[in-house]
Amino acid sequence: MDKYDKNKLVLENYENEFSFKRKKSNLNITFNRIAFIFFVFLFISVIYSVKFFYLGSLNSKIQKDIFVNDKLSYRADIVDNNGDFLAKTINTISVGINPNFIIDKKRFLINMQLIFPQKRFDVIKKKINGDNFFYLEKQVGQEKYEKLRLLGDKSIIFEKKLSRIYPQKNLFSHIIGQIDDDNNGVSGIENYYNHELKTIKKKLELTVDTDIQFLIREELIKFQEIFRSVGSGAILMNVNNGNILSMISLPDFNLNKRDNISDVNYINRVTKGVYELGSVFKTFTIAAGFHEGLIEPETKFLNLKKKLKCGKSLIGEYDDKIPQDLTVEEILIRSGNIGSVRIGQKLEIDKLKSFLGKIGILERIDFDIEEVGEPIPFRWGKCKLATVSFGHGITTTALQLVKGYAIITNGGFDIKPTLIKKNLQQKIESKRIVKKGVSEKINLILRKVVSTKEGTAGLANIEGYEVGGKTGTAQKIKNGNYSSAKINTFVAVFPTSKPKYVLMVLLDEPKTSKNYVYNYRNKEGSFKGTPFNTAGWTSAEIAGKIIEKIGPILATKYMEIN
Amino acid sequence: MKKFLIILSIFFLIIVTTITKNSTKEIENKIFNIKENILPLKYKYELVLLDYNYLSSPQKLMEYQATYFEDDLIPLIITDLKKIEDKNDKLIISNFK
Repeated sequence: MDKYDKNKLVLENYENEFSFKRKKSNLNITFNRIAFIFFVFLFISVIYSVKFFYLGSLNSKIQKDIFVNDKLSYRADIVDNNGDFLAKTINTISVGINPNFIIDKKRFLINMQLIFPQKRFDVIKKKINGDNFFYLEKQVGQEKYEKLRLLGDKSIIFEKKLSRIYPQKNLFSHIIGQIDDDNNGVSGIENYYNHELKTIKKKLELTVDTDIQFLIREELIKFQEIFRSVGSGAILMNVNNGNILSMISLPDFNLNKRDNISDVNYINRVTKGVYELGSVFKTFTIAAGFHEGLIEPETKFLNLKKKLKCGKSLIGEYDDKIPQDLTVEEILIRSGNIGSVRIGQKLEIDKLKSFLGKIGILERIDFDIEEVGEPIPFRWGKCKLATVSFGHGITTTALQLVKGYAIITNGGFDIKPTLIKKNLQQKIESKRIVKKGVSEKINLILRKVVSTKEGTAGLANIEGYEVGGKTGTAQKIKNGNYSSAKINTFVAVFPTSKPKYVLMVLLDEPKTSKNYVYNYRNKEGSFKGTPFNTAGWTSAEIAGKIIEKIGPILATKYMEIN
Repeated sequence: MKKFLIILSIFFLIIVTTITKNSTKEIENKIFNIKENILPLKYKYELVLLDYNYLSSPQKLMEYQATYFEDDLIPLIITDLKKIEDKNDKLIISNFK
């Protein structure tokens, strides 16, 4: 550097070391930086996403917690076909005191006196001086609860309790049933649908109608006094879908009282009670004959004996005036025992047994409550065939009887009696189990049982409803032997031209009434006093009165859905 | 450039998602509040309905009828009832079947 003078400019050839080249390494550094920024953003976004997911799930978690707490004090309401409450859950709060946590007893008492001015505080004063927990007030209102809560006193303990209210009191006692103190069903729907009632978040809708139930129950109560029966029952069911509109068994009980019922007389007579139901079974025998093609309504049976001996027992007619030559139709209209036996014999055991099994008479029925009786099994034989043909020596429940009548009158389609309202989509196409044409024949005969003067149920002939039906009077078995006490049944089907409803009325041990005035339905006039305590004079009369009252409701209110 | 656009779009999507989620959260809060406000009203309504069901139950109505009216109730006769149908602006009156 010293060889150059600072004042002189010297130009030299300078070789520049820099040459512009694409350097891969430089570009890599740039891309890594972007990638780095990207991953930073990605990381941040992941954190945000996690946070979002967390916040999103937080709400449902809270709701789940509420639900878990609710489970202990939750029970779905039960409503009828119109949406009216039959059972309603109300959460109430009970206030308890733990005296050990009271800081200032004097101040505590003053506060309590202000909130509960009507309470006797001399008793409470004694209790707070002790050590034991006690309830200050059960079922406090919202206002008092708020006041107590605002006190912030640790000694005050709140207990949330479930109260079940039944606004219809006795009306649905056998259907709804009861619950225990731990929110568990013990009988009826409350028991059978216990799990569903605790978990479903909507009301349980039933097929029953409060207005119809009330009217039928009123009539049963009235006639229970007139005929002095020990109990009675009724079922009204839609023959086409098995929906039960009314089901009553008397005596019943007030569900709000929560009594522990042990008296056997409070049995559900229509589902649990298993009885020999008598002549109402003749309809099944004849329907089985039609189904098998062995008889027709006009088929004549000649020289029918007045009495038949089978083993030790003697089978006779209840009415000696019954002619010896009868058609199938006349056998049912006049309720001939011997004629029914002859039809049964024509059918033979297998066919009659198979038919009764098919319509659900012989086995325990699957129903919406657990209080269901089981028909008593028996060994079939020649004598059994004879007695079963006219409804003796065979037992079943009133509910199964109603089901059987629904099937043989609705065109032969199988149905399942139910108390639970199902959505239209849930409806299953019913299967025909009885041959086509059987119902038409049966319905015509059932109509004649009510409408003709020879028929046994003229008292149920209500104008405008085309009532058909069959009476059944059976002796009650007591201590293994037939007694003089009776079970009177009448099964009505209406309108017989196109059946919609089946109504069954059952009376347990009815007696004759001296003062009851009967008004003839098929002719002018009236008369006083019950001549016989048979179904034609008791159950048929009640069924007539019931149809007269509920008929306008059924005709107008249920017109669309049928 | 292409990669830059991808990164930008991802970033944009994250931002949009965040904004959407936040605004959804606000709506969710509003829905929750409305639901919370409806709950006591629903409870009150059900209690009123329970009162109504009890007071208008057939048993109560019969009690009122016996207390306030002298005449007994009589069942309707089905043959007196008619069915009215509106078909093509024409009223068709027929009997119940």
